Amino acid sequence: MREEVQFFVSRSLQGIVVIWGIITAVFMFRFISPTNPARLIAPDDASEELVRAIEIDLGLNDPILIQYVSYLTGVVQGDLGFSYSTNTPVRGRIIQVLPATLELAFAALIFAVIVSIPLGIISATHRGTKIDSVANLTSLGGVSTPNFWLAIMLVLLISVQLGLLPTSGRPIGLGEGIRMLIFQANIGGLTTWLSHMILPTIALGTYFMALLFRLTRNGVLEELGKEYVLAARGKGLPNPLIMYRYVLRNSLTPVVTVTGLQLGGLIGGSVVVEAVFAWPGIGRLFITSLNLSDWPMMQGVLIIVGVGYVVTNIFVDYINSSLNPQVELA
Amino acid sequence: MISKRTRTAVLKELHSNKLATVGTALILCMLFVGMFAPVLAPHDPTQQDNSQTHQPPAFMGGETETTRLVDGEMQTVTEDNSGSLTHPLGTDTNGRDVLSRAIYGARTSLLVALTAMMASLILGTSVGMTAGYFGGKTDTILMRFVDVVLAFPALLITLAMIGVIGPLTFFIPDPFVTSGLITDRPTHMVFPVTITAAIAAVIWVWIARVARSEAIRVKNEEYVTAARTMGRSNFGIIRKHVLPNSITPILVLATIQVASIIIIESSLSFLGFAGTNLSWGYDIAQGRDYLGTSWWLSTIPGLFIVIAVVGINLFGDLLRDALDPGIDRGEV
Amino acid sequence: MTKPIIKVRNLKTRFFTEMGQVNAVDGISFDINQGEVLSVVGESGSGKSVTGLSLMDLIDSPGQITDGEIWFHHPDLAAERGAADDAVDGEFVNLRSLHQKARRSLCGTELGMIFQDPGSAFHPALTVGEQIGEAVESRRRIARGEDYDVKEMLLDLCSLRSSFVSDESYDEAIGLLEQVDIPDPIDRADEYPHEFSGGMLQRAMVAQALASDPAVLIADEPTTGLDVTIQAGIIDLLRELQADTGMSIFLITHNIGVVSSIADRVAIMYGGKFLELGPTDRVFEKPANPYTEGLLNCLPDPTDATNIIEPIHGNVPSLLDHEMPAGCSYADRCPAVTEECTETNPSLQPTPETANHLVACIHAETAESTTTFPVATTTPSVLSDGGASADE
Repeated sequence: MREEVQFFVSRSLQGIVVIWGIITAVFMFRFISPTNPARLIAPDDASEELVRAIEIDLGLNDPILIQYVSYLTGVVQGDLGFSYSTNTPVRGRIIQVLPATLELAFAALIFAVIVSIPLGIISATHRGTKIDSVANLTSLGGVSTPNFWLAIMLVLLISVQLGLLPTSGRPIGLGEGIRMLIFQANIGGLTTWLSHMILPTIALGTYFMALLFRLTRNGVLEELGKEYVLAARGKGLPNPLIMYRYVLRNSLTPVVTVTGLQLGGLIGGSVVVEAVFAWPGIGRLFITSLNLSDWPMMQGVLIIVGVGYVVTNIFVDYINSSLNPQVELA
Repeated sequence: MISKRTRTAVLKELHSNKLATVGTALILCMLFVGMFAPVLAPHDPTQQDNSQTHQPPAFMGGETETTRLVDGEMQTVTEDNSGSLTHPLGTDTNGRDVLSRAIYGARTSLLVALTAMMASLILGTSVGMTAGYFGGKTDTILMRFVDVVLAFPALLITLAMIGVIGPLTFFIPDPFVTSGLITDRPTHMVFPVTITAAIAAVIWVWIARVARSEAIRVKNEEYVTAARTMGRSNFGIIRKHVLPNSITPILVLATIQVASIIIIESSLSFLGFAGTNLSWGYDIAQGRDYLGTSWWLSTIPGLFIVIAVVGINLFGDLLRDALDPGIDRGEV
Repeated sequence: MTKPIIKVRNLKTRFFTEMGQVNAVDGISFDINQGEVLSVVGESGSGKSVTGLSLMDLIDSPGQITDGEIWFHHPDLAAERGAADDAVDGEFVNLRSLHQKARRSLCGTELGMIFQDPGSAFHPALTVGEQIGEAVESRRRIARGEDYDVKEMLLDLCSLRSSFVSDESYDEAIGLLEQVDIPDPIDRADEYPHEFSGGMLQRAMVAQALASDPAVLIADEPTTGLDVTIQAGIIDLLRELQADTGMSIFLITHNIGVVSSIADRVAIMYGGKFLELGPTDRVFEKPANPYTEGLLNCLPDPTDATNIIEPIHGNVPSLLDHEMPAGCSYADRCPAVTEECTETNPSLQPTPETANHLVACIHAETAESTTTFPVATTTPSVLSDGGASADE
């Protein structure tokens, strides 16, 4: 227990340094970007004086250090600033769209893990067979296909040609769907939610699934060759037990690590997938803001995603060290 | 730089592994297509022809009903819609040849991927070597910086960099056209500086991480200690000993990353930040509006991406199996 | 007369590698008697470890047992299957015709194995107590006739904190650690393998092998890699345990000193075949095969400083099928080689003086054509006499 507290304290301190770096980097982005926010906010026909006045109002003429400190204190207090384009708080807007992206990212993650790990195990234990070859080729395709194109192909095939699932949009969130089920005993909300989730989930999760498949297969193959697996067979343990207690334990370490690292990748990937499916998430928000040079909004998104990544990684390291006692905590 | 042992190992692996041969062939093909695009493309990829819109690929046959503007009125007309060999992979909504556009798209992808890879190779190796070799505070500061960049999803931060840099493109005269060998082709190649720089600015951190761990490994070898006791300068040691002995994994990673770069590049052009319209991602985005009628518009450029990336991935696997540099597929 | 517990007949184990087919075990036949220590001696690459793994059915792809029978004395199983079964001969069961699951169960209840390198034969992320406990638990579950399949595994996965090993099994594991003279067994059971010293871990390995309460213990180089003093401790331990439990030990080693101190009988293995097999003192006093003689000449004699060690020149032969000589595999290194040796492949034959001392050498005096290994009448594949012929 003491070890664990120590681990989390020391990792959190490191994490705070990185998060500070993230905020600083994000601040620098806006600072060196060529756009003048005052011009964005001001009407097109605004006079120079008005623009000047807005600049002063935004504090753009203050020394950079003062701007930096005030931005940093703002962020630490949870204030991500106001959008240049809508003049509403950035935080509120992000909180509004975050669930859509998180739902999609988690669904893709679950899809990837559920498919890839059993497939990786089967492929490794049936090495050299047809199943193995097919799975390997599929995973090669999976890591080589850009997700936006896969998304379009899915739409083309399943929505346009077969007419099975809706092409785009997210008419209802998971929370709303559950609420409908509980309070109105109406399952329609959930089925609508599900039908809109399927294609984006596959499009976003496939690359990740193929990656995890490769890692699982290689890990299991490596472990199967270990002498302790032979010894476990020698003491008469049944195969499923050997797989679960001896093989998976070590071979899942890289899988867990990459899963953690790839959560960020999934959010990144969702930028494009959201664009294909008109998914009202953080990725679309980012693209819209980029096109409008709405830096506070982009900064907010980057900070949220970056902090999420840092926190996830601390947990990933913790899970790995508890899977493998040889890796000391701290 | 490439030792004989390395070469033998690669050739041996190439010999025993059929998929690796396929990968190598695909890469060579892509390089060839990219380099000789003006010669290989049957049409000018930017040439619009309103009489030849939405032509299907040559292997398609039959008639289709389309609604389009006829004599100032929207009408549903049945037209002969079988493909022809003039446009082997059909034409897009402006009558531009899909095959020619895909061939020129390969060129853009290659240009971006190779430049970004070289830039990130130089930057990443320098930073990683410095951090790993000198260690201590230098290492901590540089690696914290790397951690910060790694905390963002590659695509997101590339997009942010695009916002920072602003749109920049650079025109390179096409040697085939300027020398007069070929006419009727675009006279200049568009080099999308912004996305190349943005991608390089993100990719280098992965190189830096590997370079750093390699530098740490090599600097503890005895020949480095020996060189140090003989009074060689740090720079001399890095150049003479550390770099040559750690370059293999770095180069392998760089090769694998070309695949990631191509995917990021196409994603960026898909989102409309390409800076050029001769790009696979751009064509996929354009074809999206005609999925119901002209499926090939989005499908074909995508297939080109998949083939190129499969080739690089297979080649990367080959290098990894042959040289065993001990790097994982960390991925961006 | 001693009764055999395992009868191996014409066992062939092959590895199908990129280089070609490797005949690691090339048609050997022998018995392991109840309560004896049978030792197999040979240089590295002679196929002795593969013999041990073949007995345990632990040969993995690209390797495969391609031919032969392994008859195990198991009256219960034999009775259960009935005498009409091809896999049954009297009280013996042919392990090779059992299904994988039944075969595995036998590993957990009748056979135990000690591996060469305990450091890699224990899983680094599980405590030693747990790993021995698993072996105990596994034996108990088999005895109760319980099955452990994917369904049970998923249930285990879902119920957090559940353990395969029951408390009783864990306690028995601690008892086993005590039995192999590990001090503080309760504390040590809770430690991970990397916290053990090499000698202690080898003792733990012995304890793990004992967990299945084996009738036959297969010890693959149990002392290699240990200090001499610790080696002696392990050998003493094995001897004690053998005396206590009456199990048979199949000891694989290249250390002739170890053999002479513990083995009742010894087999000399070379090139995937047995060249000599007989009572230890008999073989060492009056070796009938030139190879055995050569091996013994390699030993230093501490009482005689003038004694010159004579190494055997040349290398262990290639076991690749296409490189194997037609005749005796030792021919190209043998000091007594004649033309005939390179043509005919010798089979194990009894020596004239002692019926249970067998030798495979055409120059050795042998008693003519006695069937050394009587073959069960019910088995379809009938062995040639001697059983060690390598013809396919």
